[in-house]
Amino acid sequence: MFKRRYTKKLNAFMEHNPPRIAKYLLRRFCHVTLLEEIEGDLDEQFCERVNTKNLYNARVFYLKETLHTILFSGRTHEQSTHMRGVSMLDAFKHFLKISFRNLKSNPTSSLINITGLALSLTSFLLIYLYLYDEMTYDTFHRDPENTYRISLAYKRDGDGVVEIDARAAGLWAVTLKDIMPEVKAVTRFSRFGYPGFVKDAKGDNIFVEQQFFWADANYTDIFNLAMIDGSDAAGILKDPQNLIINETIASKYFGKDNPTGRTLIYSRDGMDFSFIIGGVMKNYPSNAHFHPDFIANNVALNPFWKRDGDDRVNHWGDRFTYSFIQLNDGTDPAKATHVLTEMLRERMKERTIPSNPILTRLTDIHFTEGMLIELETSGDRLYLYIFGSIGILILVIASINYMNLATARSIKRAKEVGLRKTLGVKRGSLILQFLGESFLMIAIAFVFSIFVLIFILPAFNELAGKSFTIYSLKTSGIWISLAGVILVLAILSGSYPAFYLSRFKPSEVLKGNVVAHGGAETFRRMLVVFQFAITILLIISTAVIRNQMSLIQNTKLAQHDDQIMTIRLAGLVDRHKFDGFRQLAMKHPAVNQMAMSSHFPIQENFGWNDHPVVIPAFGKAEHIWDEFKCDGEFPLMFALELVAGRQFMIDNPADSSNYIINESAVKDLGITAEKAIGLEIESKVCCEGVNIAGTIIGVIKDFNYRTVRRQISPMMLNCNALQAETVNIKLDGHNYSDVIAYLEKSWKSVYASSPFEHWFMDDEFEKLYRGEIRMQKLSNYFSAFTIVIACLGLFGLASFTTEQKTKEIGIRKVLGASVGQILTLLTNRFVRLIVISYTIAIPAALFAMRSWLENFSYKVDLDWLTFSGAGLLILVLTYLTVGAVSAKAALQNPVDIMRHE
Amino acid sequence: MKGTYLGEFEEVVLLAVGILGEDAYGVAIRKEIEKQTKRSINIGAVHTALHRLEEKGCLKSEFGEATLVRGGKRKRNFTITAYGLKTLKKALDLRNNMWSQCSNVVIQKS
Repeated sequence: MFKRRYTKKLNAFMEHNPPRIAKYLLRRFCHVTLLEEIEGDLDEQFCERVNTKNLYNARVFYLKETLHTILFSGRTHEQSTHMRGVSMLDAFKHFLKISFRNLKSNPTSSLINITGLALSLTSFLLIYLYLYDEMTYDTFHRDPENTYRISLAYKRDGDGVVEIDARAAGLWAVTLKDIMPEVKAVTRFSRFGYPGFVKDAKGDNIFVEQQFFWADANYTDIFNLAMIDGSDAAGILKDPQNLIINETIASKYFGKDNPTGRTLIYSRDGMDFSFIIGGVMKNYPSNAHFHPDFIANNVALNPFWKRDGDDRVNHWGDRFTYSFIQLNDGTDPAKATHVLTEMLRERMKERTIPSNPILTRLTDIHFTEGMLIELETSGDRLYLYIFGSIGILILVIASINYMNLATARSIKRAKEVGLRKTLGVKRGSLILQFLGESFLMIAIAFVFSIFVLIFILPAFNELAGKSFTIYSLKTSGIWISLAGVILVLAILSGSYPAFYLSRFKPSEVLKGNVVAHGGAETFRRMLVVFQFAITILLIISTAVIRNQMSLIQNTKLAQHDDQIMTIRLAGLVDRHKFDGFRQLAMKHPAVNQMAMSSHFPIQENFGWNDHPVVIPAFGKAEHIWDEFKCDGEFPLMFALELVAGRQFMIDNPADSSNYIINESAVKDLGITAEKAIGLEIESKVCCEGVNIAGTIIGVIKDFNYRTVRRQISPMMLNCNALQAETVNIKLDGHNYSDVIAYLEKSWKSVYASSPFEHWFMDDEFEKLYRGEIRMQKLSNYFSAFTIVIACLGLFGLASFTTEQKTKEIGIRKVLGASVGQILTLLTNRFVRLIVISYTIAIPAALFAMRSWLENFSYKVDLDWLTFSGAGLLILVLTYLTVGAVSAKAALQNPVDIMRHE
Repeated sequence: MKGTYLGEFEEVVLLAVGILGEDAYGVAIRKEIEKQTKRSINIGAVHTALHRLEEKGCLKSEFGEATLVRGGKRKRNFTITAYGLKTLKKALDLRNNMWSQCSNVVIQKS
């Protein structure tokens, strides 16, 4: 005591102090009888170094010497000849050796643990990558946090439904910048290719292009536009003669040639706009809410946009461009919204429709749902939460396996613990050892998981629509969270064995008095119940998702979607020549049916199909109905069922002013289907004030012509093939490459100068339900993962209990128990647990799936068949897993088991 | 055998204690060895060797004075015991004996 105080006092006299951490370590780990002389020596050297070299050098040297002394000179712990200490490095080596021996002596459970942990770590990594990618949408642009898009919410004419148009009129953003100093930059772009198309100078390559962006010259003020050769994009964009294309387009039109300086022509309504390619930009990453293929200065289309004394780009009312503003740091977007609202109120006094502008932060656009004319399908945060929780649940399940197997084996290890304690090992180092063991296990599993990851990454990319490589792990700061997960996992999985086993009293253990604790048994059971509850929850969810997807698959339009090829009738296609193409096409044996129609299924970003309709018999009230064009074949091709009236007659020109309406439209009128037949109908085509009159000749059942997330609206079909946008061709057989080539040839022979742009309808549905399809595939994979991991755990546990009961089995058999009875005995305990998990999982699954199905207007029922099916599946799996283990034990000859007694 | 055997480093340490005489403690011994052998050694290693030698009975030790540069900690001064001297002598004899038996050819080669 005295010595310590004395030391402190003198230390204060010294001008400089050695590193505190080194002092601490030395005092902590150096034996107390040696401490004085060693510390004295170190201090003396330190003083000398401070004088001869410098302070820094001395401190580093001090630390180095201390560590060396502690780690490698075991003798520093020594008190006298009869009490040996162990250096830390030796202790660590010993831990490692024991851990590896343990791994080797229980190959089954080690394998189960490592497989389970590796699988779960792999899914964690995948889910992390996915979530990270989703959460960082649009962050590759400059200052995305301060960038906002202007959209407009307004009440619809007629029925007053509030809708939001993603776009804004061009002058809003520009004027806002003039009147509000906090606005740093603004830029606008519009996007369209169709109904025009793009061709090269010779006309060899001619395509309809959708991602054609017409941008302000200051596009790069807000958005990232990296050119592959590093040239200045802003400079290129300034010249309206120039066009920027991305890498994909460059190879599509020019192959391996250098496209810079070559010509591309945008052709629309008989006008050709010729551009010189100023450079090639890098493709936008997958996590951007828009992906331009072409970017041109919007001034280039002035002759087109400035017709009839009107400028569509710089307009107060025409919402034509996507407008973005960038605010100074710290500016409240609410202020900008306020200024914008005031500005619009003043400007648009004459407009009667109540409307207000909405600012959406650039990074939030991806998750903002329900806006019209959105650039790309938006994401759903719900899926992120679902995937995130699945990731965590899988980790939990795997660590439960570890805990279970480790506690189950605890009786074997109890003797080891007893022996160690007798030899003077403290509880603390036992705890450390067990935690270290679980850490080692997880470290090995992690190495495996990286291999698994490399192996399945391509498949995952395919179904998640991402482009991850093993290098993505490097960029996303994943290592910190991974280290966290591994640490938590190691402590979580190792904690029970560590704290439970280290509590054993050596005297009891060595006498053989330790029986498995009642508490431990209950705990283990609880873990199994929890584990299987999660597994059953995932199985049920997978089944419900599958049911919902098959409901979607069985909607009228989607039923044969992989057989239906669609060709776009671009602007220049002369509809009167179409019969020529039809006759040519029908000659091919694989072509079954052809029907012209609007572009189905309707995507939300197509814009409006609804407009006011007046039924004179019901007064002047306007009804908002969707209107689509088709020919007489269309209802037949998709087997749209008639409720009343008749179908269109093929080749009857009189039908071109006739309408077929759906049941929702009939309901909207409040009459029966029969009464609707023969009613006059007046359709106001938007903006032009022209009324088209016709007669209702038929009523069909409602069919889902757009996503089942949305209610089916009142709808009418007009038999006017001249205005149809696409032709749908139903094909027979399986190999379509031949018939597609034939159709293209026929198309070119009739429409030499129009692009043959085609797709299959299932692609369109995939776009429509991208989130759901992804969810389905991923949940398939992950529930398979959990089933495997949980069954592995069950297998391990069952083999352990069976091993414990071998003698009991022997005695029972001697006393006349049959194999069947023993099997029942062994499996029943597990089956009971599974039944409990099942009852827990059901309400959870009901809740989860109900809230998921909320998304859909048309949804499957949660039927008992799904739920009992899941129960049955897991029961069969349990019987198989446990039965396989038990059968071996039950079939053994009792003599083999008992003769050693 | 185990008790009398001297490792190479132990022998060097023991000799350094002999050279230093009165003032043989950790830092001084270390400096002496570094000076003589031109190799850099760790203070911990010196301590390990010193205590092992004390255990074998080659050295004995007592606490010396505390100084300010040592942060108020006392030195432990080592001195060679008679047994230690004998062991050193034995090692030297062994070496001389074997050296003298080496043939002239080998010696001339060097």
